[in-house]
Amino acid sequence: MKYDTTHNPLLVLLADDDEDDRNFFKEAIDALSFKTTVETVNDGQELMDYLNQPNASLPNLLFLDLNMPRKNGLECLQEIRRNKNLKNISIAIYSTSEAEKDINESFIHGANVYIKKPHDFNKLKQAISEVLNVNWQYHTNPLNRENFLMVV
Amino acid sequence: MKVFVTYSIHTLWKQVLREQLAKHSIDFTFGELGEVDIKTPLTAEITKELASALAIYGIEFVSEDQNLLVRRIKDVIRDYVYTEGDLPPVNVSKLLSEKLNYSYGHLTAVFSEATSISIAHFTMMQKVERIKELIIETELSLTEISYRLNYSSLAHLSSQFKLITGLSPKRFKEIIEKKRLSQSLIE
Repeated sequence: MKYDTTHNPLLVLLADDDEDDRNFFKEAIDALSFKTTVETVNDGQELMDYLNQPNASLPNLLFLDLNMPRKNGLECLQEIRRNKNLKNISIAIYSTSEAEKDINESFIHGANVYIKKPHDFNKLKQAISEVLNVNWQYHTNPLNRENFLMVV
Repeated sequence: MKVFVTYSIHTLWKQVLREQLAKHSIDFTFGELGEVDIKTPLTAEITKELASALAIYGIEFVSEDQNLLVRRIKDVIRDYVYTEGDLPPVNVSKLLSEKLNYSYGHLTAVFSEATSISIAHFTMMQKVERIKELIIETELSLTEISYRLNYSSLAHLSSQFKLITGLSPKRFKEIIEKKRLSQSLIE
């Protein structure tokens, strides 16, 4: 994306325990023209350790898998939303589950986006691009972030 | 007779700008490295006049001009979408070219280049944000909201809402209500 070049690249963090899924995601986001830097962590505990470092460079957008060992996505989501230092992070749940219960619970605990993990590369690219776009709108326009809810 | 002169480019361009901007009574200050902070809002007409007057001296606006235009496009759309009461039934493209004095083609090109979404898409997003606000903050029914925001029908409103958010307006409302309830229980 050709944002004004004075913007720093958007920092995106992915928390997913599956190595194939992490690589698939990175390939998809790299194939887009957005200026992004992608960091990854391998489970929920690692995610919280990363975010709680005193000088952590906080992501603008977090893609969060629900099913992870040590600490699952929903636990991380609640911990992040209770922490005032982390309140500006947009959170996109990135899950294989399509259950309405999971979607509702994610939103109620403060997720902004719910992505049903696509298995098709082009669909994944499309989904990520949509999320980056809308997130960018909330980032650069005076919109009420409480109302930032989206299912992709 | 030959004479030799020394000159300072630095003084020259500043003096030229000072003269040209003064002609239009424009208030400004010089910043670093060719940056000029213009304090008076410029109309499209004056911008054009200035650009051609300065071109004679080889001075060109490179500036944030386009970003400024994008900001003004967004302001016009937002002012329109957030009109109190019923939205007047006007065409956004017509409204923009009238208010900003540029062709709609020029405006869409500048906008898409800078933001990666189209003016139409941006307008749709703003309207959906307005719908969200009306759903949550007022007692209006969805049918009433669709009249107020100039949708041809409730079905049209719902499909646009779903296109942007992936959710139906009804489901959105339910989720927000549950979210607020659970937040009030935590606090």
